[in-house]
Amino acid sequence: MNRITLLMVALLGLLVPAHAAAQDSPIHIYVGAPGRNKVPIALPKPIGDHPKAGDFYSVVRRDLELSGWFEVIDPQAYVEPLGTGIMPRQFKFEDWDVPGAVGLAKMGLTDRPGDQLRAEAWVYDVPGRRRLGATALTVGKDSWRSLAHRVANEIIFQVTGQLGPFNTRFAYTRKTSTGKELGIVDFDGHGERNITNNGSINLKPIWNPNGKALSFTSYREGNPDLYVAELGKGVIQRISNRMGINIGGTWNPDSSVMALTLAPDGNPDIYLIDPLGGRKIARLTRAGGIDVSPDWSSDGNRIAFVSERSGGAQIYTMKPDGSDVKRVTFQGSFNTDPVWSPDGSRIAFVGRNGGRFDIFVVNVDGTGMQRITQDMGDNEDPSWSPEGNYIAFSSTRTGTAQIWMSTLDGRHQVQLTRGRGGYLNPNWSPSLDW
Amino acid sequence: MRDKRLNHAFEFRPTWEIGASIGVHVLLAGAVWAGQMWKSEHRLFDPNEVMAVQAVALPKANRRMPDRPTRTPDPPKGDTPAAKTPPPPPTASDMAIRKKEAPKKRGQPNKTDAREELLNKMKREALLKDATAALGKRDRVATDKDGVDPKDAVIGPIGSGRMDPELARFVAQCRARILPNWNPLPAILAAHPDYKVVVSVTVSGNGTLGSPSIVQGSGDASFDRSAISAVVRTGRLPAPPARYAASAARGVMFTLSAADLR
Repeated sequence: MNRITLLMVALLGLLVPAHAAAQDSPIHIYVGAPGRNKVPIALPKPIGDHPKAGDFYSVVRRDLELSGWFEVIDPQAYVEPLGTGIMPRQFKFEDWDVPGAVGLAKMGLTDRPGDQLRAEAWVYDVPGRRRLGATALTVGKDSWRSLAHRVANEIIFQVTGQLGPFNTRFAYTRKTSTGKELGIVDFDGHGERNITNNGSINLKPIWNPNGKALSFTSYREGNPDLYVAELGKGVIQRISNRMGINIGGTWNPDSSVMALTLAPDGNPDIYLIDPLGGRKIARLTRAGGIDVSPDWSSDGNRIAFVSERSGGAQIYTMKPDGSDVKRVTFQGSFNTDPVWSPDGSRIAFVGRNGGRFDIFVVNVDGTGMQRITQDMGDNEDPSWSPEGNYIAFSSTRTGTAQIWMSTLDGRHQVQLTRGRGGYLNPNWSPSLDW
Repeated sequence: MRDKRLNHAFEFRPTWEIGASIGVHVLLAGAVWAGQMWKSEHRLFDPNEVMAVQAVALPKANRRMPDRPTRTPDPPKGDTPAAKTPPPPPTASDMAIRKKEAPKKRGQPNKTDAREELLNKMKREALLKDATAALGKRDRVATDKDGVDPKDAVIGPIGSGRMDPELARFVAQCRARILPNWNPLPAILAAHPDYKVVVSVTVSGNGTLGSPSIVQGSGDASFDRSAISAVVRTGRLPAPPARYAASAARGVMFTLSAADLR
């Protein structure tokens, strides 16, 4: 009896050692991949003692901070002596370990003959002790802001591999004492200039694909007619003045056809017209209820639009001949203002939720709905950046309508315009380099 | 009584000790089999309640975590709606009821002998021993409240998906502290999603870190240095669970990868 008991205890004991081994074995922890942590970047002021160096530096620094990619390290933490060289072997990487820099962008700014300004940018990987890239750009002195934006573009590309949207512009509508006027402003809210100044109501500016013209709707003649402003020529031409609304003129990729909303019989529908003479080409929608807000995909194969054919306003897409209509949104009862992403895979739109308007993004097949804004005033008029990494929109979260920009995950949202506000309908210029 | 029954089980009896040994082996095998049957059909104990863990080193060639679940498996899905819903958290009363079920079976015909009783006991013992480190109720409750997701832990379970919640909590806290301090160049992440680096660092009983070192590099100096910097910047981790303090003091290995491998 005792022997059996001992035998059983011994056999059961065979199962126990694993318990001790568990606590003696090395612990191996899978930390995983980093999220989108901001890259600590050192950005010393440009060498060269140029009188514009301070302003130039401020523009580059603000661009990098607006991007959401970087945390620009406070220059007070730099230990490298001022005036140290910007090229390889002219400085010590160890000096940039001290403030914890991962990226390092060294710049130079010098005058060139012929009223020119030259900027150099050398971008380094501090932990890797290597140069990532370098660029030298020369422009007229008056274009120093554009030069700074282009240098910022170079820095973001070298460090992240992503194209930067800093040298772009927005067309917008702005409330005035007499109505609403059209204007253009640089990406960072500077360089504002008027397109219209007619004291009437001017709405919904839309760039043509080459960035040289804007369509918009104006009440200057009493009826909401469609106009095209050719920016290089300074010419504004009325394209469509049919009875009822003429609004939302969007070009196809080769600018040969324009889709817009007309309501000759009182019910808004989507039509195609010739963008040069305004000749009507085709009527695309005939369903009951309104069909408005067309937006052409970047490949020209489909048009997104808003329709009430199922009751509430929802986002749909169709072929440019009006066939193959597909519903995209099914949630909510009021979804408007669809805009295609540059790669054609997603659509940003405005949805009304809880009495407020917010920005959403959805895949073109209706999956992957993502909310960009929430509980921050009214957010409307989305517009994609040319490279597709950001969405601009107008927001009233600070009281007056301003142009804001968000990353696609909604985590980084920044205000681009300042002042008295009233900015509506921001439309991002289609080219990365204005 | 028991000797007599064992003798009946074998016709060839060179010595009674050998017979007893074989008999015990048979009993053990039967206990394991019965335990599995009991676990699946009668749920002798809820796998969510009794957990064990063995922390192991991953093989160097292992590029991703094993696909098997690192948490206690969900109950098998059945056709009935009730079977599809996850079981409610076990309560003390549940355990009490289950404990009372065993004597009930002893009263059934053909299952009242000492052998059946021994089988039941062995079955329970084997299952618990397999768990190796059954935890007290206090630990289980704390884990539930913390909501630590065991998938965050890279630890090799002995049984199918059993895990020490204390260690899982430690692992989750380590991740939460290290990741915000990790800033590799995004361009490297985009260009080389296959990069992975294993860093070893000693963790004292109060969570103080030693000097980190690269156990397995990615081949990219910048990426590797960023991982070292992440650990250095983290500075201090939570105190490891007492049971694993000795192991942590010898060194904890952290795998940081350009893309999520899970």
